[in-house]
Amino acid sequence: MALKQPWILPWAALGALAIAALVWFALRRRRPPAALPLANTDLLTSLPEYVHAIWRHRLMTVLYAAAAGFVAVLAIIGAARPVATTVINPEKANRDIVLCLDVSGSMTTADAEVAETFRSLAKEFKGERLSLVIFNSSAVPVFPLTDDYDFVEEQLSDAQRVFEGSFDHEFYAGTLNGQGSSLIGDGLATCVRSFDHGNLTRARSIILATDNLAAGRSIFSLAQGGTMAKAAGIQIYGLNPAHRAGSSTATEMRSVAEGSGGLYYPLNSVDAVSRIVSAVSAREASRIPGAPITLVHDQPASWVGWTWLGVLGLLGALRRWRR
Amino acid sequence: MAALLTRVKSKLFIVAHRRTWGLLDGEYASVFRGRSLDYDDLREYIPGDEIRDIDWKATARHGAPLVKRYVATRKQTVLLLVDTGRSMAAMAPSGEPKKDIAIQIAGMLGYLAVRHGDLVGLISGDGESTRMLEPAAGEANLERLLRVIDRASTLEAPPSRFSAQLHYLAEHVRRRMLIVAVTDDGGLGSDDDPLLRRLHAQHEVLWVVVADADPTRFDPRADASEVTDGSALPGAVRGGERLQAAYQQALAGRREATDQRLRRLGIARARVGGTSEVVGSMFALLERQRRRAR
Repeated sequence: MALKQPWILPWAALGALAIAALVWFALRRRRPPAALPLANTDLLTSLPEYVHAIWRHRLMTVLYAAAAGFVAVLAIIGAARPVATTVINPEKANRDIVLCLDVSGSMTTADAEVAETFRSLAKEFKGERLSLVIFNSSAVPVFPLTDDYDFVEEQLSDAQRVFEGSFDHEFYAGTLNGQGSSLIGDGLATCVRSFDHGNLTRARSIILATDNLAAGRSIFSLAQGGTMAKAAGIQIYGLNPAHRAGSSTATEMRSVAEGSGGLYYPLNSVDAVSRIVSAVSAREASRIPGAPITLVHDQPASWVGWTWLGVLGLLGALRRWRR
Repeated sequence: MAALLTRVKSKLFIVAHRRTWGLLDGEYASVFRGRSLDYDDLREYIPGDEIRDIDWKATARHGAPLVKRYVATRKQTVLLLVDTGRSMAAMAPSGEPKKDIAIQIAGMLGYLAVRHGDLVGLISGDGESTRMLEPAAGEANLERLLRVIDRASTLEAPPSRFSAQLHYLAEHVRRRMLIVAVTDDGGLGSDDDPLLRRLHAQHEVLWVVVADADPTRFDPRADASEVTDGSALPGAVRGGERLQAAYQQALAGRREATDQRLRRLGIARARVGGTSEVVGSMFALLERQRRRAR
């Protein structure tokens, strides 16, 4: 618990003490001729019963004063505006991830693995948006960036099923409209263009799974796609299941991925996909730490409530006492 | 200010029926007037008259009891010895200030005396000063005395110390008088017995106590304090059955102790808790005094 106006404490305490002192002095000074002037009361005041009663009365007075002081403390704390602060780290919630999957024949195993991994990741997503773009000779967005995770799950499980072998014309529809196959530059460019809300600060990344074995004439080269991604602040994580060290395709893909600030992963086994994707996800999560937003909630309820209860209790006790 | 004596008289005649008043008159006559040998006249017997004053022969002739009246040989002097200290401004059980009751007592006995042509004087005072107004005749004088009592006993007056008035009486008054001492439960000092014995031998002392209000019986919300030192008696503490019982017991004990001392001294006493009780108490007091005198 923190206080929003802690400076109130000393002033309120001083004020309460001042009021108490004023009342005290006023009561002291007042001393009007009592309504009941009595004489020879020593007969009463020397009774042990009376002495006992007066001690009890004093004790009660002290207890009552203490209770009143306690209620005053409650009230003062209430006046200092107790607040609860919650720090929200928005970093996880501002990611956009486009799964950019090459669906040429050689890639399906890796694609299935990527889809499966993201299916499980999406279960814990909160605010992240996911999109799936598949490409062969032309790119087709399967679904755009969305945080409808039920939908994502449905789509990804469909995609996984297709990638794992149950061929589906409908799923691949539109991916073969270009000239050639695996036009990676075009695929990447499509993926880069599928991000929206360019004016919002979000961590944008592309999981690009391809063997970078292009055949045919593409509109964009891979390097051009990489430049576009870099200009838009999009990081590319390249997954290459057909990595051969030193090959031109691997080198090109690595340079594009790393040039955009992303990473390049050679995929030697499909099991590595989940590990890599998790690593990528974690890296992405910390990429834009964002200013942690501190939310300050006033929490007067309990203090004010207890003060009220205390005041009511004090009044009730007074009524009973003076009955 | 309304005449205090008028108030006393109106109260007297409202509370006491004419018959009672006559009784009181008779009681006073037999207590204070005494008898001389000079026969004056006869009048009808009123209960309260001395049986031995009845003129049996005249009664036999007349058919109703007649008493002989004598010419007093000398004027009697009634001296009101009144406590006018602060505690007499405190409250009585009836809710009136105790001094009002003292005034009623003094006024009533004084009026009886005035009616019989006797002189009435006053010694009054508190712990710091005592003064005496010489005995004189007449209602105007009595009114003056009552006003002195009324003015003197206030909550600002010095605390009471009735021994001072007793000593003053012992030192300043030689002539035999009928002393009516009006004070409260604190009036009889613990070592006043020898002094009182002496005063009673020299004069004739009647002791009237104006009772104090019972602190345990008041509304606890009312603000109560002891007049002597101003100490508060918190309402929350005053009540309660156990305290009331204990207080009653202590009060009875104190009264019994006072009564016993006065009885041993042979001084008739009365206790008054309100102005409406004054007539009855005074009647009983005079009755007791008459019995004792014989």
